[in-house]
Amino acid sequence: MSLDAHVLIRSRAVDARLTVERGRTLVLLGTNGAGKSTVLEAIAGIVPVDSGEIAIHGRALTGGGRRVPLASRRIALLSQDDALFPTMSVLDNVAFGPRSRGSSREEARHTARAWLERVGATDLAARRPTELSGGQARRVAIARALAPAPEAVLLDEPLARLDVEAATAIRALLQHVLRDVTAIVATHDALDAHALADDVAVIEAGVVVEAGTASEVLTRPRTAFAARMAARVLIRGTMQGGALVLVNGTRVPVAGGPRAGAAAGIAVRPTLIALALGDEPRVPGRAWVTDTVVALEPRGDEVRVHGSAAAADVDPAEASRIIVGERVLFGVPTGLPAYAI
Amino acid sequence: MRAPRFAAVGAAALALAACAPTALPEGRPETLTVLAASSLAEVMTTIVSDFEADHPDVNVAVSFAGSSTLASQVLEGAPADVLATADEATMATVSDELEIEPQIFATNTLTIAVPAGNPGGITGVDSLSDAGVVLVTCAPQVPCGAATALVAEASGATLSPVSEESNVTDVLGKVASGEADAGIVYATDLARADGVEEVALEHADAVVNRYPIAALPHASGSPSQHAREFVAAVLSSEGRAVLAAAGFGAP
Amino acid sequence: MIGPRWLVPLAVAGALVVLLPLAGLVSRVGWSEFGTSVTAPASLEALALSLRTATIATLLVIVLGIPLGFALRAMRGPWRALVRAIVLVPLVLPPVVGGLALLYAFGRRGLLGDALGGSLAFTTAAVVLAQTFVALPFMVVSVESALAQRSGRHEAVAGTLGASRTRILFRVTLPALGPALATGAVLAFARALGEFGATLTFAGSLAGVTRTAPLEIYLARETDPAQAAALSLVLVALAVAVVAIAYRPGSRR
Repeated sequence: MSLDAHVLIRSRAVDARLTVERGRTLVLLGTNGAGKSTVLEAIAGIVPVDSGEIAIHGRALTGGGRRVPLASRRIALLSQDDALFPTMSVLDNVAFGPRSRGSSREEARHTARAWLERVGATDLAARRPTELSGGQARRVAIARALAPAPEAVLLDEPLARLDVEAATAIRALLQHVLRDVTAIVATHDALDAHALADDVAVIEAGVVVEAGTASEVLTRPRTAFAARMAARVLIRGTMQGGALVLVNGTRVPVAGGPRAGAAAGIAVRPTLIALALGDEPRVPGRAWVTDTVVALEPRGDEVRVHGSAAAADVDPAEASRIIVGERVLFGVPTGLPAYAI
Repeated sequence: MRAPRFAAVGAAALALAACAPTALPEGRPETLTVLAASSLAEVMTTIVSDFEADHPDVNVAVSFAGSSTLASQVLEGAPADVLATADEATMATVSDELEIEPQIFATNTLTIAVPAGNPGGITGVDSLSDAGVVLVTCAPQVPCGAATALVAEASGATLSPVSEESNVTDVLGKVASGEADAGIVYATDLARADGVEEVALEHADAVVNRYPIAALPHASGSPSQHAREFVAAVLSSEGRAVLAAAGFGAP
Repeated sequence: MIGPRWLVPLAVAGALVVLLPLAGLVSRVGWSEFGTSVTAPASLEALALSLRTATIATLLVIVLGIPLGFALRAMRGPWRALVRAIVLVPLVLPPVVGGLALLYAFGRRGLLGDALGGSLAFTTAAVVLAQTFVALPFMVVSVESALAQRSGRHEAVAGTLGASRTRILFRVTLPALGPALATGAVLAFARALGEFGATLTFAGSLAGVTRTAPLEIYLARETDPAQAAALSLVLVALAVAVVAIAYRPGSRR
């Protein structure tokens, strides 16, 4: 029993395959514009697909030229903009789904009150959506999506556009309410993926490039893009006598790894990689990889220096001395677990 | 070769200017403004062009509207030289205020208008009250409606129109379009309408509508020479002939 | 926004074009007889008929104009522009032409003449039809432009929550269109109240049946100008009230 989707939309260059086992949460990880929202909207039935098949627990929603109407899919969508109905009170927003599914007015309100309580928004019941803060609106939107007991719920960037405090609270709430719910959470944030995912699928330019359990994909990514989404840098090489040998010949001692001669890699957090310019002293205990600076990427408090084989996070003062095209040395920690690619 | 002819025309214009004090110099035609009831539109147009042919120095501007509208325009001080209304009462409202001497120049009586082919099978005033006959008349508040009421009274018929219009044109419109089986209108209005036929209205002579015309005084206090001449032209035998051709009776 | 100063005299001239005729109307009202003029049986009968027919016409406009607005919004490409132009024709049509058009469609000898058996002409229903004809575009335009402002997200979300299209229409879309619907209905009511030409041509004029306030004014103008002016003033006051309601500050928010 699972949600299985193959979404093919040529005009948006989307050709993605996803599977979520019943009761599990799949985090769909990708950059803005990778096609996450399109995939979710196609599964929900808002965006039509050219072809492909979507089925939930064996019940086909598309395929064979048929298309199950929105209202019969039983798949809820929590969109980035919350999209609460401005003409209804918070309570009526949440009661809308159960009422639409055939509950009596009283039953629907009862269900809505229970959900408002679960998301910690009981005291907001009488308010209008325009009177809510971003975090409050998100809570109500989550309650509304889950109130009709959908067979699956799709959450599009549920933590976007919230301040840090609200995002933290909503993340905790989602961990709680998504337990035992079949869910897909689209995000570009590795933290959300770690916090919420049972499984992870990485989507790049409309195509799922990697999928697996959270621990597989987040700690042992097999593509540079997946590593990047997991906030790591993937260093590739070939196994040779307990070390990963890079293309330029540098040996990085590692733990474990596949048999000698096999392609392998290590996923390293860029903060753990040291950086040295040509004539600077090199700290021992690291494998120093000679590389050329490809790009400098400001990331809040730090700047990520991208080479062709590795990357390192340095503070802006240090980064200001570095220019693209310059020769640098990346100091990679030794003894990290290697895995086959 | 041409100069002498110009000179001759100029001389004639000067001569006219000398004997007609109201004519403008330089041969520019004087404009005579005539206000006439809408029902007079066609006959007045004919009479005016005849008048202009006889008086090359006069340019007649005619304005047609309902009699009451025209009367109120005159009383409001609109510049006009001649007023011709469709009834005496309206003219009286003007003659009460201004020094004028209205003269009756035509009469008009009511008749029954039916759509071409007479689909309602109307035979006379009695058949107007038959069940299913759709009758349209003027509203009793306006002159043609008041006249209709008097004729109905004289003939002993009780009319129940489905619509009481503000003017004859609206009555004729309903009949010509076939919406109504019959309408009571003036003979002259019927004469110029398309798509309608006449059915004789008994006791129509109970109400004879008289059309008065009057030359209006100028700022100087008395009507202009041309205004008097225009009134005379309307009353002349040529004018009467034009009126008779359009269904008007003699005074 | 503040424009250059030379706009001021033009603005004053523009205001005078509107204000002077209204002032003229007021100047002709016989104030001593105003009460009796307005409460004269003919005036009251005409006003009552006008209010009754305009109310029914407004209800018809709501029932027919909203679906038409939706249909217009759903059309694609050049069709929409063409159909919109056709639907808006009554707004720009000379009233008499509107009346003739109605006559040729619904009159005894009109397209539907045989089907209707000539039963429509000279009835109150004909007045309502004429008013609906001229007032409908206000609602259609209101609904269509309000729908154009909507992304459809709320409707899509409502669908994912299991709502049928009918439920989405009544619970999500129409409530959101509320202000636009109110504006459209109020303007349609005002237009229906003022309808004259099409009624005169198509419905006729009989006290209590088809003689609405504007037709009563048209008739009284010939016989009792003071009554015409008094009744006109009542209609002007109604129109001002209605427009003030439709465009009250904040009504679009």
